[in-house]
Amino acid sequence: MSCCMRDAVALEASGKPTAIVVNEVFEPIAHGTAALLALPAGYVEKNIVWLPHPTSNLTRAAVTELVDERIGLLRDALLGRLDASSTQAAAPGASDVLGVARETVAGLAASLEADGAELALLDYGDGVLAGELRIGELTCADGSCVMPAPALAKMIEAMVRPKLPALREVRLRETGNARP
Amino acid sequence: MSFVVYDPRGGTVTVAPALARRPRSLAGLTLGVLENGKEQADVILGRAAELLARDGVTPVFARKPSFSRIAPREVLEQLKACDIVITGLGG
Repeated sequence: MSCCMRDAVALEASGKPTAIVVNEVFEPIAHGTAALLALPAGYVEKNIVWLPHPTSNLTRAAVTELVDERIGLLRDALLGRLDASSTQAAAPGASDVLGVARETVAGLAASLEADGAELALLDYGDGVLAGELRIGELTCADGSCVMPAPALAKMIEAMVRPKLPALREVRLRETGNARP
Repeated sequence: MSFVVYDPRGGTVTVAPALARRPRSLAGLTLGVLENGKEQADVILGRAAELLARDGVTPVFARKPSFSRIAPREVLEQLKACDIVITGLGG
């Protein structure tokens, strides 16, 4: 998906309007790539036509029908008339990215919870995933010291980035007892 | 004795890419069709080209050797000779 977008951007830079057709499962990546490439706001909504996922296992007739249903959207994209109000799958946003990130770190969050801490991923925007590490009354002194937020942020970054290549940084705010 | 100390820190400058001006009509334009080789991509983009041809475009087909890489220069050059382009696909 990101390669399709990079090709499209290269062609746009040469003055060639370029529309992309791709499966909707790649919506989070499309938004992440748009952020990474500093594309204008609304690029994804105006230039990408979504297909349901998967398409690889559909019959030729079914695939043809999908295209037939969306050809108006593709035409609109080429003419610069496609926008967020067009009839497409719901535009993905921060919530979709958050969903992917939360799912990815679910095991880690469960481990932290077992130690009495809570990991909450709260927001995503412009390549930054923000969250909180809530340690409540935990202290190192009672043997329940959890990993410091900066180190945990790096770990989350490493876990999530393969799924969200546009992720630039994870920022975790630690709440609760001040560490010694 | 004096030293010249170079600052090893790099820097990045992000410039928003420019988007092309959209045509008012598709009639008479050359349509580049860039397929990435994924399953059904040829069927989907081929059908799209077939339908858009009814608007008066002339399709020119190109294929990337790998969907996980950007298109090679020669493929992009081929498409830059077109007026508009469609590309895809995945999964």
